[in-house]
Amino acid sequence: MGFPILSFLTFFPLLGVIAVLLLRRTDIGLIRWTAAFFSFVPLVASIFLVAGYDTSTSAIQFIERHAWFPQINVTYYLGADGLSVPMLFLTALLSFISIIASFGIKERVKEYFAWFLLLEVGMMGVFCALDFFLFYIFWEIMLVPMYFLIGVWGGPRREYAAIKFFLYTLFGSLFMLVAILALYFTTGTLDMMELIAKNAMYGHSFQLWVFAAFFIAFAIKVPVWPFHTWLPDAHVEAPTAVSVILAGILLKMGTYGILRVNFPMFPEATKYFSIPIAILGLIGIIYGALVSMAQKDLKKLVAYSSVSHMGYCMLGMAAITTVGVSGCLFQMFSHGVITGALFLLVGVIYDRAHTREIAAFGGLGAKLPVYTGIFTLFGMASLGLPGMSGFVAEFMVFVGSFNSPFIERWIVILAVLGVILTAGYILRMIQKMFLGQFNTKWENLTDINGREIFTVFPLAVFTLLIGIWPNSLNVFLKATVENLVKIFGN
Amino acid sequence: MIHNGWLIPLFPLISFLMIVFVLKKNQKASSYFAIAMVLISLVLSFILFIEMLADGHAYHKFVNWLSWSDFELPMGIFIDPLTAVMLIVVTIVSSLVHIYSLGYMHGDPRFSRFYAYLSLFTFSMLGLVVAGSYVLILVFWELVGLTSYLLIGFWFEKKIAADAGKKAFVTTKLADLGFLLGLMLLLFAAHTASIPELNELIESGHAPMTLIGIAGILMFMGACGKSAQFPFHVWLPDAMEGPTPVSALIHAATMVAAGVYLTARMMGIILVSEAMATVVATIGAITAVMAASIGLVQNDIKRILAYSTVSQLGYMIMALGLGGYTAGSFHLFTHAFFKALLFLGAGSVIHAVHTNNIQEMGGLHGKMKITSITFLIASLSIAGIFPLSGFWSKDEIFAVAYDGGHYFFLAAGIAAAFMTAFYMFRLYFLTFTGTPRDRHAYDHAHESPLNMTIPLMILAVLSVCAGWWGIPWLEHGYGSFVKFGHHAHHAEPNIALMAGSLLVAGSGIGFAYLVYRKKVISAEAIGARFKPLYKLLYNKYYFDELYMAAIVNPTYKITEIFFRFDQVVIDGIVNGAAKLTLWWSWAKERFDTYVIDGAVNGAGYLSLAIGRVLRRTQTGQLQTYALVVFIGAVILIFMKFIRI
Repeated sequence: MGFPILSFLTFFPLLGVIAVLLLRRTDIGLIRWTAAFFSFVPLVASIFLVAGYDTSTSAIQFIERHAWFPQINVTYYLGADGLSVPMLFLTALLSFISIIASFGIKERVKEYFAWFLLLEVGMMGVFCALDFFLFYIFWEIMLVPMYFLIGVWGGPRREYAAIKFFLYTLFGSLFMLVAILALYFTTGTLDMMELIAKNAMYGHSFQLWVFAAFFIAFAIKVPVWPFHTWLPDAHVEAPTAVSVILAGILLKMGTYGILRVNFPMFPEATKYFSIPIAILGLIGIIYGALVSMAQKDLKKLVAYSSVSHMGYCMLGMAAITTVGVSGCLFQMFSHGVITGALFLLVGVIYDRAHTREIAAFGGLGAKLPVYTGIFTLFGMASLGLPGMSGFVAEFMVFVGSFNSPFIERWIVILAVLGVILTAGYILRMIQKMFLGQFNTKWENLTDINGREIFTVFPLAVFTLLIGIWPNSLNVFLKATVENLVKIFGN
Repeated sequence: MIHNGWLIPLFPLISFLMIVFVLKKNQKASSYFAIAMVLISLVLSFILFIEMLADGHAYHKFVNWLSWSDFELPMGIFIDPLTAVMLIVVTIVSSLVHIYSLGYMHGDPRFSRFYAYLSLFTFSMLGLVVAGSYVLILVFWELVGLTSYLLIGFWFEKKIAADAGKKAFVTTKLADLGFLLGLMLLLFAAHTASIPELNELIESGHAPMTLIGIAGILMFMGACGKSAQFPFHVWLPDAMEGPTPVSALIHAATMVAAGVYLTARMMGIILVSEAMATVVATIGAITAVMAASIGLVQNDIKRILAYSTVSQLGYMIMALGLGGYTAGSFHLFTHAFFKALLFLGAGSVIHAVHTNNIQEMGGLHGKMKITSITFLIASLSIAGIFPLSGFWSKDEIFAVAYDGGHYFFLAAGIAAAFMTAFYMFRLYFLTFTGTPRDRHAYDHAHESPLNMTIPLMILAVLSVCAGWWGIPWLEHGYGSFVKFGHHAHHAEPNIALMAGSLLVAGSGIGFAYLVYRKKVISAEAIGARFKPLYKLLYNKYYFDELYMAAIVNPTYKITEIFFRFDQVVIDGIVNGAAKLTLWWSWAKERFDTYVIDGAVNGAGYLSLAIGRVLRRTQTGQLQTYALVVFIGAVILIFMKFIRI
């Protein structure tokens, strides 16, 4: 038994919550740096996690397992594999970046950072819990800080957005709870790995029903069309850093859950539902892109683009091929990085101009060259320009799903249309914001500052690294993905 | 150098990074560094070229890029004679454009950025050329598209330039959907996208040729986008909003030729079926004739050249479709020089008179001799006058069409050649000869500085001599170097055909001379005589309007509809569900208060109320009781009979 790194990752931010709460309300600077410290240490730890991860095996690593409530067979069980290691790292990275990006928060600073660190606890926990009891707790814990972060520090319609987010997710969680109970009463265990090992004993209709229940819970989180309407509201109202976390991590929990739970536990149902899932992915891609194109609010545009981009994840996983599932995982990471950066950049301009209306800008390229350059870089990444991670992910999704024996090829062919629609709305946005005549109303805008560049810089590095050398990410996924796909025996 | 071919694109990349991160504040340093780097690439390309001339064997090297147990996607380089030729073309034109821009872009506030973009473009274009797999080609393909977008919209304050950049990006991206789908199909059918592996597979004959063929035609769609072939040609004329050196480099000599290059690379796939080859040739022929005809009546000097480029690219594509691997790629080679020269010459003119409209020029020969003479050389070359470059390469294409018995395509080629000669000399005469039509512009005109004219002179030499490499009588000429399959293409030199092609070019020039120099035929009269045709050509066959009405506007409409659907229906259901829940709890609350609780209280009230009513009936009068009994009986009887 080595150092319990997963527990450390998960609960270190909790120490931060306590530390922040102990500080004086007026020590704003100290609160900020304390929060930064308590999110920076997990980032360092996550680098050790990545470095220590054995990429040659699909076995669960860094296992921590202790009896917890033996009466009902609940264990404290943490572990990580190729699905979770990249997500844990991304969580640590985006949490730290978001906290730095939150230094501009001026109201109720103490509560803000306390909630934020608690949020990190929940996210980390979800990605390493391997016992359903624990998983469910972390899944629900996350909702509370998110609710307050949107509801207190959000925009004008924050209460509506926060309640909608909370209730919608809770509604999904109920399905998950029922599904977990169904599994528990069938097998008597909550150990996810054991439940996977026993997947042969689930009857056909049991598989279908329990699959569907889990799927609804996760699909709301992704969000899969038509469960997506909480997303634009939550994003538009949420403060910048919360949007980053929302898009960067929370959405990925949906796809993570499907790959962690639905796929290995109910392979038969997965095959049964693969075409519907692919079609939902297709609808998400096209529909999200079309709706993005109609947006007048910059943040809402990025929010709807997430619906479109997460559609690629759904399509890739529905393929159930190594390339397709890897494409899904690539897209999860890539979208987290790229969209995280885009939300940060939206925040940068909003902080200065106090508006996000695309039409209000114009010609900013002349006045804010650095900001324009960075925004264009991530815009291009988002539309899938080669050399950046989005392209690799989309390409893998397309190739993987086109080669899939489980889904129909016309779905993939139609999904390719998403590429051109994405190019359409991204270029239109860039043009309206940055090109054309400079709107002299913004004479006093200042270019992006050092702290803001610092927050997006690491994201640019990862976008390019994965785009140029995708193996850098793929080595972590490969064994796990191959093992996952093997279950389906194609 | 062949084995280290991957080094060649690297130097412009270094230049890009250096300018962006280090040098950008210093304009001089940025430009000189960029020029130095591209010159290194030029020298290395020449070394590679000479080695390849001596060796002649293709070389490839791949490394692991992405791999799983059941699927691999390696990346690497593939270098063969065609690559060597392309490297030469790209580095020569790019170097000259780099130097020319010192003068042309002088004083621009974004001078350093211009060189950064030029470097990024050169890197991407060289990468595209050495790429050894179609996936890697796609990667660089998109990157050159990006730099093209950035450079077209370089002066982004002008809305028209920003629009043009977006149009170029979206139009080519639309065509690239074909490329992407083709690639997916290729990976599905052949499990590889590596050029050498694929070539081997096709040669072995153990490949699913039908699927690979369909993949090929889809990928060809991408080529049509990048090379501005019908029906994707609409973006290229608009792209002329970019700085003129960019038009010369990207939108004339190199990037737009990438589609031709890709088509040549896929020669093995295209020639698999007759039908597919015919599609390719037909697209090329349509484009060649259509674009040339539009070029006849335009007035913007750069747009005329843009339509000319589209038309010449059509020639190349047509040649490839007819199996003329050597002819098509050779025309690409010669065209790069004279078309770059034409654009740089046009840039020199625009630099002098500050207008693009040839109707406002005239008589500039006296003011700018070097520009005028070099422009004349390029015009003669593109028109196909012996013994300039264009003559030899155009003749190769005619020979391919003639030898193969493709007389329809030969006719298309000849028609386009006639129009080319005409519009080029219309342009030349209106610009450089006659009397100035805008006195003010003329008075301020002056010859461009040396850093602009020297590239013109070098390109003029190439416009004359580059084609000599392909003289059909030559023993070890272009045809024995760049060839498809194992044997050289040996078209018998056909004197009659050459004479014919000269005659066509000559009459085109002569006609232009009569109309625009001697003015014995009035251009206005012809325009009036064929008014509908003139309008059709002047409005470029209304392609832009068609696309706006059929694709762009409906798309915007659809987005609005979807957004409304999202708000009203989907979110309506969500909010409706919430409202329903709220209403439900409200209703239950009411039910509790008024029904359940009400029932309890109500029972009391009710008995009181009933008592109050009934009390009134207790009148104590017998008659009243009898009357009530009687009425009741009547009602009962009545009900009995009508059977209620």
